[in-house]
Amino acid sequence: MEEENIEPPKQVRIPKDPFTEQFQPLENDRLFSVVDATLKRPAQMAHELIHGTGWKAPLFLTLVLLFCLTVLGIIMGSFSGGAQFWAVPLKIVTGTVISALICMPSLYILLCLSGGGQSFPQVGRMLLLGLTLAGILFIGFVPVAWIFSQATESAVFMGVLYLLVWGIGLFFGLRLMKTALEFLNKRSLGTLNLWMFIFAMVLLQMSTTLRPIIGKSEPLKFNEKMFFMAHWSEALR
Amino acid sequence: MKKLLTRLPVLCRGDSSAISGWLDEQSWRWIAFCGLTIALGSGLYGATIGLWRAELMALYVAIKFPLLIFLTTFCNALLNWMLALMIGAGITFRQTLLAQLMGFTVASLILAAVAPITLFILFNTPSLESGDTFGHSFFMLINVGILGVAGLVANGRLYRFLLLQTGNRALARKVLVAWLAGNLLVGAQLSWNLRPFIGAPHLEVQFLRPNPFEGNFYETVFRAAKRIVEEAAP
Repeated sequence: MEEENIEPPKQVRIPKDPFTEQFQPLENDRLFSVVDATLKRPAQMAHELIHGTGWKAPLFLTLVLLFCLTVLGIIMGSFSGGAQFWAVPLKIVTGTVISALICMPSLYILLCLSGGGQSFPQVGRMLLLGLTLAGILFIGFVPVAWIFSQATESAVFMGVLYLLVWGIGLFFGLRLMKTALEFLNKRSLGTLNLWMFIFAMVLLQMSTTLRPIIGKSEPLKFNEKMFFMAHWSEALR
Repeated sequence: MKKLLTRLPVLCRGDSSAISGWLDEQSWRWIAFCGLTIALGSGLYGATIGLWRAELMALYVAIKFPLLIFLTTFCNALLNWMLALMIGAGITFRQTLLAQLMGFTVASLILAAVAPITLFILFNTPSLESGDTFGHSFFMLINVGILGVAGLVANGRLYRFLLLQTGNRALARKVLVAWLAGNLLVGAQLSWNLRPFIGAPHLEVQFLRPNPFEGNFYETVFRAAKRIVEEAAP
């Protein structure tokens, strides 16, 4: 019987986890390289933020985040115009920064309880990386949001649209932070999902505390305490 | 001090090899440091609870919350040590005290870490005087949830410490259950004696009620349950 000529199986290259492959030093720490790496090779940014000694990368990330939030704020403010052009960017920037500061201690403690070995500043830098990615994604949505803001007069519709934009941006940003921390600790960190939920709740409440963000300019209503769910149901009515 | 401070993240991570060494240490500095962390961490969280009622109440609860932890720990220390011995854990009095204090230290660190969030919730909650019942219920529920999670995690860590010392899961579990039962029994009564922690809006702000030793926690719960049954009966 003639032997069948069986070809040896081709060597299939199983790709490694992209985060593992890209976890190496950043080639240069110029502003645009930092933005480029945050989007395309976030593992390099994580390496830079954890092992790098330079101050440029964290500073540039902070500046990029503040810039992105300001631009998004201006576009959000353009819906009502007037004083909202400057008030909304200010509220978006301060609200996001305060929310991050409020939730930072619980992020660090939760990470420690899950066996994470990073220091407080390192955890802060990972959160900064995640938020900056979210900020850059917001910029991608800015043209779409602007078109809708010019086409509609419904504050409720714009509110829902911006919630969607924030939701998508935060999803990818916080997922990056979690992936980076899981990679650094070589373990699954499911408890961070709880923290992400808390952070999202704090951000949502912050949007109510600093209201109005979408509607017409009014003085801040710190004395009129309200939960975000109650505020939304009132807005929908 | 700095060296002791670096132990806190290690304690939260539950690093067995390091913690095992601390349990065998003879110095009292680590015990004192755990006490200080409990005082600051739980005090900070207590202040956010009390602040809901009034500024003065924040100060009172910042003192009473750590006091409740310390009184529970020290009142039960001897009993817990004896229980551990009877169960066969073979741990010293010092190790018993330290294991419990380390458990409460983890809980206090969690409470301190969430204190900014509870403060933010408080800032957005209608005051007690406004008569808004949703705000009242929501804030209570959030705090019960936070305390529950902190307690669960702390007891999980306490179980690990016991496992380190005894090297036997069943033994460690028995000791933990015995300690929990004792702490719950005494802790609930002490919280009754140290009341109010928030206080009803129509009652004045006080460090302790004029009759702190009148009645007890369990009698009150029993009377409340009896009242519910009587009201529900046709």
